[in-house]
Amino acid sequence: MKAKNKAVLVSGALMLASAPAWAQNTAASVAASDMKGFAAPALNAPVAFGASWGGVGVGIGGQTCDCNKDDADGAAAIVFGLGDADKYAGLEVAAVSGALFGSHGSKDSFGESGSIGLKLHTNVPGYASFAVGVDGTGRWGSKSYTHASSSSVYAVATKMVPVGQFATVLNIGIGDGIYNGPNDSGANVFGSAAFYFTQQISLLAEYTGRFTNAALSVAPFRSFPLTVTLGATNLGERYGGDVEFAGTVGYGFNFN
Amino acid sequence: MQKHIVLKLLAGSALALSSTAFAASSGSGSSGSAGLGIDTGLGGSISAVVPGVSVSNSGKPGMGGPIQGVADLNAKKQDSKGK
Repeated sequence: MKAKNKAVLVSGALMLASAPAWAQNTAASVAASDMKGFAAPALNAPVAFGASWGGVGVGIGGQTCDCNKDDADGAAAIVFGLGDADKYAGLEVAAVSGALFGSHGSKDSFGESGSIGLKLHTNVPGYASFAVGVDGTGRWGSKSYTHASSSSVYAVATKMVPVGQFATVLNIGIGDGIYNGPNDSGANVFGSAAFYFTQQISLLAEYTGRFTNAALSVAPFRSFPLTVTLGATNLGERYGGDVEFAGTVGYGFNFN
Repeated sequence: MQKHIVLKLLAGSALALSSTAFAASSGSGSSGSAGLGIDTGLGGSISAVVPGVSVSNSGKPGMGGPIQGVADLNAKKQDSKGK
């Protein structure tokens, strides 16, 4: 485990070390502000960037599974940010509803069970970010939901790395709970890599510490902040599970 | 400015180090439906689901996070096409 921890820290340092020369182009930054549609860099893996003050959004995620009567599981979340990740640090707060399908998937209806996700994040030069966070804390709802497991904590670093004239977003972190095997204690490494054909289309692969996933993400509108990501989870068919279809839809922007 | 950047790097490293130690020492079992983790995991990946929440153009070169970087590179590409 110690070797994994070291690998994460070394990778994070290497990601920070390369600040591209074209990052000095402030004119491009101004032009970019007109574009509001962004493809996603990950499907289920946490990322180090997040909402600061002015950032608000709503998203849903789901996948097929052999886990309940509906053969599907999902969640919805609203998110907002506090602070300023560019200046000091931002705090992202997400309220997650753990039930999407009313009484079919669980005993709770939509909004009756859920949890809070908190992420403290900061931006550093070279289009990189660091964050620490916790998922699944402050649970509410039925006992079967609140007693399902403890919360998960993670640390993660994310950086945009240009490849020629294309962008990639690389992400590596360490976490416990849902970022480790179902019956494993301690922490595990997770990560993702996304290749952006344009700002609005990305192809991504990730390892969540539990599952290997791949997806295509599209922001269909240039000036409307809608992001749709569709893909497959558990490509390695781990823990006796099958490859499943998964997707997320999100709408989020920053009014600052 | 340089002092500010050094402070930011130190703060980021401290965040990563402290959480790594915490994550390595705390264990937990399976989560959610059949261990999928979707019902709570969205709290960590929501900013990937809605990447636009992270973009607030401060005008500082290289700052703003990875998605701002994607936007800046895209804008530079479009700019060079226009010339």
